[in-house]
Amino acid sequence: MADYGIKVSQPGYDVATATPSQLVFSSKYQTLKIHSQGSGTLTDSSRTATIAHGLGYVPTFLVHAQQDPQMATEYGGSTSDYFISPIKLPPIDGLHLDRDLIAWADSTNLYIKARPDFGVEYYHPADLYDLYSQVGSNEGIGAGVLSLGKQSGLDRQGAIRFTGFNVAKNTTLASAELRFYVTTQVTTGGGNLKGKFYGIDEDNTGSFTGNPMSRTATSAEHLLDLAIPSPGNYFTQGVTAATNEILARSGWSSGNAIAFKWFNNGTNDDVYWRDAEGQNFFFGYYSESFLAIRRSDNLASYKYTIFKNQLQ
Amino acid sequence: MADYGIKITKDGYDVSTTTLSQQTFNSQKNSLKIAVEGSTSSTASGGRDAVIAHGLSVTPGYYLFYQVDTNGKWYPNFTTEDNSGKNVIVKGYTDSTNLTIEIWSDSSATVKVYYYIFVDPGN
Repeated sequence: MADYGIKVSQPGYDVATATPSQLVFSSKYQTLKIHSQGSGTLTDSSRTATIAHGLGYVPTFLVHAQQDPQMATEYGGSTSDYFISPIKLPPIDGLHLDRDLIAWADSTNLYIKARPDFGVEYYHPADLYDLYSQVGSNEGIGAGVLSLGKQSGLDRQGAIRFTGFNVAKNTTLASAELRFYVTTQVTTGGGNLKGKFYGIDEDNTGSFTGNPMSRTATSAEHLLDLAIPSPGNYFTQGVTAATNEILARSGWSSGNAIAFKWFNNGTNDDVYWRDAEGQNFFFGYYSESFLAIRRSDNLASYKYTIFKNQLQ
Repeated sequence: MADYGIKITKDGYDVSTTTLSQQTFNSQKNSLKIAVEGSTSSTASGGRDAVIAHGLSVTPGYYLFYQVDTNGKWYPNFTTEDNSGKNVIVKGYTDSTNLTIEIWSDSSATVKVYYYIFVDPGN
């Protein structure tokens, strides 16, 4: 008896002659059956949500999530809209960035993860005169070099500038970090690299065609004390308070230039870091060192559906 | 006679007053019906295709998940994630005859794909 079961047709169709897609139900076909649904928000401190499903096998699932704000700026769509995960769009400005939000499941949990670049904006020096270094009285103006530490009894110090900083006046950023690329690591003197970092407390600070180290510093000061990474790696210095202090200036406008400077703070002699990548015009930028900001700790909201159907 | 058909509610809801999302079945609304489901595995490096004949007369919708080297983690198609140093991309497309699954990996990997082909057209 092969011809048995239940069929229910869509309104307006004869169940006896309806095609399979004109049926709203046919006991011949399996459907996706919902086990559980829910929603949540990913934050910077919790970039992966782990949702226990209790099924004991790997279930089928569907995740909708909000997109990265930079993706919305570049490719359109509101940041309040929900998209099927994963969203994988072309790189911005030719840079490989992981701005997608992905999901996967195992036999225990559903995982929803904002990848490392989600919610982060990057600013790069746009000119060799956005980089400044100084060793004693020797100045690197337009030389494409950054440095900090001490060499042969002389302090190394420097500054970096970012034009077109598109953050509105009185914005309080959740995070601002300078990420410095290491081309030279000298540690013969022993100990950590130690520095004091400041913002340059100006509304739209000018290009480094001269020595910028005497420009007014922010009251916010950030201390660095860490072992210098080996060449080819980055180290990070937080500058959130200094950045927010500049954004709170009465004369600040979105799109202005922002800059930071730093001084040696007791590093042992013959211990210094240097980034000379700007001399090589790396990928069209003038340095591999850059500024990373995050406007909010909240990254994206998501909604999920876990089905009873098994992946196997 | 417009008000006819079948409605089935979730537990605890009155069928005469429920909203659509509180119903487990409503004969006025179509639902995704699975025509074919199954898995296919491939062990290789680079790109390769798996072609699944679906036997439907329409170009159906589909949904794909994949797992790398039986690590127990299943991703939806188009997800790119490092699986123990192996980067894999799985995507698919349908026509009126087949579901074609494109599998690419940057190094030798066993990629298992689980697929759903729906009765309902993808358009």
